[in-house]
This record gives sequence, structure tokens and C-alpha cells, in this order.
Amino acid sequence: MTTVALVEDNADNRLLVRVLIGHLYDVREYASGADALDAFSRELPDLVLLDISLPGISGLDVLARIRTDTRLARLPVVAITAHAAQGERARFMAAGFDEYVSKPIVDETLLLGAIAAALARAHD
Amino acid sequence: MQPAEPLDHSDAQHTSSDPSGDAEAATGALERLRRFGGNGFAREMSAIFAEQAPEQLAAARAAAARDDREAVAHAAHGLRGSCAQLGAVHAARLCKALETQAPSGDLPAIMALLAGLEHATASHLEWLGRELDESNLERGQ
Repeated sequence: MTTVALVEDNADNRLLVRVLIGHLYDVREYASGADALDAFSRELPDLVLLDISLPGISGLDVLARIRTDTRLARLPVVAITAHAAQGERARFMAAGFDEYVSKPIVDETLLLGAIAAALARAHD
Repeated sequence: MQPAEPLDHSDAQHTSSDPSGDAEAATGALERLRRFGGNGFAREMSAIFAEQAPEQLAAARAAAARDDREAVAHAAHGLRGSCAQLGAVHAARLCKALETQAPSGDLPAIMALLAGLEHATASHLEWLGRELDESNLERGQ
């Protein structure tokens, strides 16, 4: 089963994503970027769903570490964030995210579509 | 039944509010949670919010007390996502105002926003509790 690492500090958002995608993917949950990076050093997920506003290492810093680590660099990473202001999407994509999903999640097909698109591009 | 989202006049200068629109959005958010995972899932989300929101508010208040503006904004941002997902529209609006004002706003205004936010989240939790209890009764649970 395809593994999705979910990096999100809010327990309600972790539960929500697990309910929405848990029937399709093996979801591994991490409450901080440090926990996620530590886990990735042992086992690579197939895709990362990454919150931007995390305690400690921010989502953007986690992404930067992923992109500069030759072992992790090609991991598809989807931003999942409440930073929904105009222009934010472009900023996150320019930072190196593969897809962007805004919170609150009101349409589960957008989340599923973003995951599918990022995985498909990674396999091209 | 409509959510009891009180208008907090202390934040009126910072935010606009539409109580009828807020009520509709709250009902819609709850229905969406039920569609995603049923009434049990909605109850679980509500329970996490009930546990998490006071912690985030306490973190924001403690950060404000030590004048750590970045931590205030971070706590408000985290809470905003949960409020928006659970349909606490007025509370989410106050979180956004807090995020915006925290970096450079004056402390009394920030504390007033925090007080309004505490009231708004408590009101929303009461509403969620009533809605979820009623739906349990209707289902004979």
C-alpha cells in the first residue's frame, strides 16, 4: 500500500485526513517536522502531506531539508495549509511543493486529486 | 437550531460579522463532517477541538503575557484552522485578526481579541454539543 506521511501538529486535522484518505493509503502521522525527518531517515514514505505552520521546524524548512537531501529530494510533497491568501499558492509551489491543498478541507476530492497528481508525476 | 455566536463589541473595530451567514456556515461545516465520517466522526472532531482549543488559547495568552508576538500569531493560526474546519466562523475571523495584529498591534487590543476569541470558541463548543446531542437523540443513540 502506498504510504503517505502526514506532518501536522493539530490532532483534529490529522484525524480528518486519516478519515479522508486512510482507506486508500497507509497514513503515517507526525506531529512535528523533527519527528517526520527523523522517521524519513529510517524509512521513506511515497508522499508527504506537509503543514506549513508547524512548531519548531516550519513546514517550509522541512521542505528545504527534503529538497537538499539527495536521498529525500525526489519525494513528492503536498502543502496542506490555512495560508490561503492570494499569491500564497504560487509562493509555495515556487518553494518546491508539488501540490497545494488549502484548509479547511471542504472538498475531499481536491485532497485526493492533489495526492494522485503528485504521485503520478513522481512516477513519470 | 442556530449556533450562538455572540457579537463581541470589543473586536467590532477589527472584524466584520454576519451572524446569519455564520450560522449557515456552521451548520454546513457540521454536515460536511458527518458526510466525511458520520456522526461519530463529527463528535470525535468536536471532542478534539474541546481539548485542543483551550490549550491553544492558553498558549496564546501566555505568549501575549511575555510579549512573544510570533508565538501569539502561531497559536492563533493553529486555532484558526480548527475553527474553520468545525464551522466556528466568528472565532476563525478573530483568529485571523489576532494573527494580523500580533506582530505589531498594541497589547490591550491583542488581549481584547483573545477575550473575544475565548468567548467565541466556548459558544461554538456549546452549540456543537447541543447539535450533536440532538442528532444522537434523533438517531435513538
